Amino acid sequence: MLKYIGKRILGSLLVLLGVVTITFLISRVLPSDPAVKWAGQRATAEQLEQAREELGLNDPLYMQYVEYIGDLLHGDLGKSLKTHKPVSEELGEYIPATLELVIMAFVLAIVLGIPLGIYSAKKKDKMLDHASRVFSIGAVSLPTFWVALFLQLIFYKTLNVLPLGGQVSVTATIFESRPHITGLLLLDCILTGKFNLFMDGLQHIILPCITIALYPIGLVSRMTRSALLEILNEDYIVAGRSYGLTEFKMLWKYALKNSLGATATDVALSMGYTLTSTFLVEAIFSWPGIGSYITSSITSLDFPAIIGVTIFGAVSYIILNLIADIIIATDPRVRL
Amino acid sequence: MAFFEIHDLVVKHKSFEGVKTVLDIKELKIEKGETYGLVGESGQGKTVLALTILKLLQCPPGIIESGEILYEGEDLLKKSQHQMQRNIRGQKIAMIFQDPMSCLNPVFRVGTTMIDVLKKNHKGMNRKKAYAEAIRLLGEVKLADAESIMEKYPHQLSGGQRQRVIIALALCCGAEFLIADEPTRNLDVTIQASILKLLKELQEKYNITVLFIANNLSLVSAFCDKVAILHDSKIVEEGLVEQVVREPKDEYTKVLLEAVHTKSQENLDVVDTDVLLKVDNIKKYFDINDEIKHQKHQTLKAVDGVSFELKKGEVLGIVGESGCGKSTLVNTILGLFAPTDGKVFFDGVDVYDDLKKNGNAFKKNVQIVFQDPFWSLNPRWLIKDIVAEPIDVYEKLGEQERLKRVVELLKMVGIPENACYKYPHEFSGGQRQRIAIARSLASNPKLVVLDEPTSSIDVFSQKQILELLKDLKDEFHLTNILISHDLGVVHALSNKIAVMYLGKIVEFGPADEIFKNPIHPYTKALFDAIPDLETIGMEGLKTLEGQIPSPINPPSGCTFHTRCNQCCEKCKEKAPEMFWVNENHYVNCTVIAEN
Amino acid sequence: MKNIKQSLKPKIDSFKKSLYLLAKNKLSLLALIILVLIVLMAIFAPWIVPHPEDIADETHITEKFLAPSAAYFFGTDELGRDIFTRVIYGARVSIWAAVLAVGLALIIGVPLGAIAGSIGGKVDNVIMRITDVFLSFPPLLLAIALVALLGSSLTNATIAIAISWWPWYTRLVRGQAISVKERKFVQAAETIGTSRMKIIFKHILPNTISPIIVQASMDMGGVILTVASLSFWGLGAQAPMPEWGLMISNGQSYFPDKWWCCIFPGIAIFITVLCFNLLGDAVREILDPKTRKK
Repeated sequence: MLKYIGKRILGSLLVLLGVVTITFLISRVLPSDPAVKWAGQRATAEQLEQAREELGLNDPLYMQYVEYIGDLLHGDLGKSLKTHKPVSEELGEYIPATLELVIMAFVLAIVLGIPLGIYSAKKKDKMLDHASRVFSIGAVSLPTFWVALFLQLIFYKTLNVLPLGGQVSVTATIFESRPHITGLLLLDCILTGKFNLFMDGLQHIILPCITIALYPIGLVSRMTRSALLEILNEDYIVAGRSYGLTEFKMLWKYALKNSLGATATDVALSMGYTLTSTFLVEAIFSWPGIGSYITSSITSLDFPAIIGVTIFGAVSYIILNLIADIIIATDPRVRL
Repeated sequence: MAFFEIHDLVVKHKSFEGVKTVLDIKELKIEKGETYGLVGESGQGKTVLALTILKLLQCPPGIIESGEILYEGEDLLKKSQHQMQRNIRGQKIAMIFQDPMSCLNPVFRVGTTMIDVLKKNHKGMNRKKAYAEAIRLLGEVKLADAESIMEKYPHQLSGGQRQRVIIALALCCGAEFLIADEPTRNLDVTIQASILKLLKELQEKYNITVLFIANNLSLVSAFCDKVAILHDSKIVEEGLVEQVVREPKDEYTKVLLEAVHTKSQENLDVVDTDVLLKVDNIKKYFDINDEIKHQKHQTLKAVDGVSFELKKGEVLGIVGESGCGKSTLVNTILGLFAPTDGKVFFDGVDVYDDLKKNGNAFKKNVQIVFQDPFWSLNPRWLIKDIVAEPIDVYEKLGEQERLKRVVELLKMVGIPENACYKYPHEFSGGQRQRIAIARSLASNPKLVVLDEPTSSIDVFSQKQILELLKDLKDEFHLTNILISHDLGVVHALSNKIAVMYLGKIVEFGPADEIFKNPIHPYTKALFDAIPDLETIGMEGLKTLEGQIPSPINPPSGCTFHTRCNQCCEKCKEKAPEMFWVNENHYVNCTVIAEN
Repeated sequence: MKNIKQSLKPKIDSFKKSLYLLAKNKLSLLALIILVLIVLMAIFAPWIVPHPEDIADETHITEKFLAPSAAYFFGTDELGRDIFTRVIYGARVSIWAAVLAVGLALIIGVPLGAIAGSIGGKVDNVIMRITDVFLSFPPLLLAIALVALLGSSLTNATIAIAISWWPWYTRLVRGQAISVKERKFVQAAETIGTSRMKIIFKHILPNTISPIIVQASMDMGGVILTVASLSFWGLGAQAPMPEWGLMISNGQSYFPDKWWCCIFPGIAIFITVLCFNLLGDAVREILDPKTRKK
């Protein structure tokens, strides 16, 4: 088991190297001159040359590659073309807010998606199953950015019960200063007992959280349903019934454990989708996370920042898949 | 009123083709303590009946149209799912399924499942008592080391062990009526015999009534008191086993009986004495790399030093239980696997050498007919293209010429020419096997391998296919290698036999001699384990105890010594040497050689 | 002629069977009908829209931001263009882009998967490691990076989506190929001596078609969403192209006062994607051999 995990981690590192290579190729080989971006459109030839030197663009490609990998190993993602600050530093500022949003959305997806899927499988072809299927297929068919706008229309404009955007309102921070322990606002507020600020933060997170969670809820419940239905048709379930075991036990004990592997994979997969849809939603809700960062980077064509975010996304995705694989490996069939 | 009765039961199945009757039983009566056999080929509704009795049939697509199923006078069809689950399933009626692998939940230990079932069926039984009871039951089904079996997952058990666990599970419930749905279907013959014996013993001990479902009459003749023959969803004949076997009335029963009769071989003398195939000490090892456990490099010795010669026009039957390496041997001879060691000469030419030098040209000479005609023909190709595949490889023919050849070949195997523009799924199993045979002859091969050629097709076609194979062999002067677990088929076709055990040939010689007088202890055991119609009842059925050892770690000395009843000390240490009984017949056995 | 008829028969049978299974699920049938309507609308857009000139940079200053009415079903946008016209035209843009992206991804992914699965060994290893690398980018993110560097345009967005999408097909086809390889007809072909390439492309590949079709049809919805997302971000279609995502992005500045600028293109995306997903689900059920047997 441990050896398997070790092997998977090694595999993930190799994949990571591949990811980095691709991003390197994208950023260096594609027809665009980083020096121009660095020095600005109106730079003189001299300034451009200087910029090239500074960015190491005059070295042969393989040297640049080695240097690039070396920098990455030190956590150096290059400098932002816009602010000229290290990308890793900037990412560090934005990551916690995104993390908070994604975690919240995920808790929602698992807490709602899995039971919905189970229930739907149990009541196959009954009204409830149809309703939940329509809901989950609907949920994965909605453009997230549009849902964001729609929710704003209802809850801010029409009902005026929830704020339009931001992570916390300015007025709230006047009375209670923002705590910084873990970087996750809500968690920090609980840790420091700042109740009002917590409530304010909670109000802000509701809309973006629902928007983001919609997709994974739909996906997870759909996948759970189909995995369960497949298992409920297996011979050993029929056999279990023939021994007189209750349907309740068949579903909650026997079938569910078998579908764990499939569900874990799906959760990891939908997490990847969520991460990217988060980016779009953050921009709409002016949430101070990576999404807002990459949106502004795209507008200003700040390549190191874009590549930095891409690498960050890939790394988190690889870690997620690794976790899913480890969960699957707890299945005795795989442990063989 | 009998213990169990079925009256006018009609079950239908709804599909896009419309509604089809899958079961139409006028009457069926089973007395308490009786063993009742139900025989029919696959697709005749046997399993549907089993599921219907327990109300486990999926509806839709199934429709239980009418009838009643009376258990001690109560109609099961009138009961609700809940009543069935609470009072009937397990407690009164239990079931043993076909495939022991797929009906044990793979992610739970054996013990977990057993304790769950015990706790449900015995009110107030606590975990500890259930555990003790489970251990006792595993002992009842003769599983050694019950404690460790409890901790194991299904995939860690062998096929025979799994089926014993399934039987233990059925016992768990204390049912009085047991439905055994082809309980030995995927098991080896030697294991099959011991499972049947076990069932019989338990049945007598606990006074259980058994409905035994099988697809062949010989099993039923050994095991049951009464038998019913199911054909086209109806019972066509019913009666005491002896009566049905000795004096069958229905045409279908007669066909079934003929299928299991061991047919003796007429004149298959070989005139031509040139050696066509010489297999010289062939070995084929597979590396096993365990991805997850990352174990040390292991080798599976699938074929471990096999030599024999085959003359032109001969038919060699290779028999042995699954996993003995017969398919690997054949695939290695055909050049599909590169051998680990050894040589094969075909018509005096070194095959592996030739494959390296001339590519696939050698393959023209050898062809194969597979067991399952459903997967051996590409479902997306037209018949004309399937049959012409070898022609396309070795000859370049124009479309007209090609079609002409295809039609000729099809005619030879008795398929009408309008088949050319059809797809495989439009044909029955027997017809497909004919098409596969036509394809195997398209390149004018000298050697045709028959890999269980009749075991996946219905009994009506089996006999015809055998006849066809015999005719074609004479017409094309073919040499055949026949792999089969069905001794009847082997007996009917071959004039030489090789018995394999764990990658080695243990006995080799003329078919008649071996069938009349098997010498090696394994050959004897194998022949004895197969029920035939001559013996009615279980007495004639001898069992071979013990599991087949793993070919990864074969036993020392003679690989058969762990299960051999004549084993001596020497067998455990030294591998046996070839002992020639006469000039055509040898065995690998130390004991025989010494006496 | 007779021969052709005969060879078509199984196909007709299987088509009938599919229709039967589809008709059993009313919702999917409805989805199919709507989808056919949408595709027809997309094809005949130039002839059926009330204001064909509005797909370009036309400005009608006097008519800007009109709320939905009988004259303008979906209202007008900041340049006074008819949103209804643009939404209908948007179907043309989105579906075409999605078909292109999926098609391109199939062209790259399917042969690679067939080769990897059929040959196995080192070839398989190399192809699958490359696939793994591409799969380890969260969906969309690689496309974003690519478009950001290639330059924003609908064509580049389509290419970028295909580049980040093909590995899914490779993986799928490889798995299928491995299972088809085990079938006896492949072994039979090997004994016959049929060449390896012929085995891969004539024996194995045709038998992997069904799951490919299922996956591709299920992906259409996702790809349409991705195209819209990229356009919303300004990385896909450029003004004045009537692309749904782009229209929502434009309308966002006037949201929520002029809600119709965003809401209608959104509904268009939703309905189209929903229909594709419903249909994908149904197609999966139809082609699934387990349900098909019944």
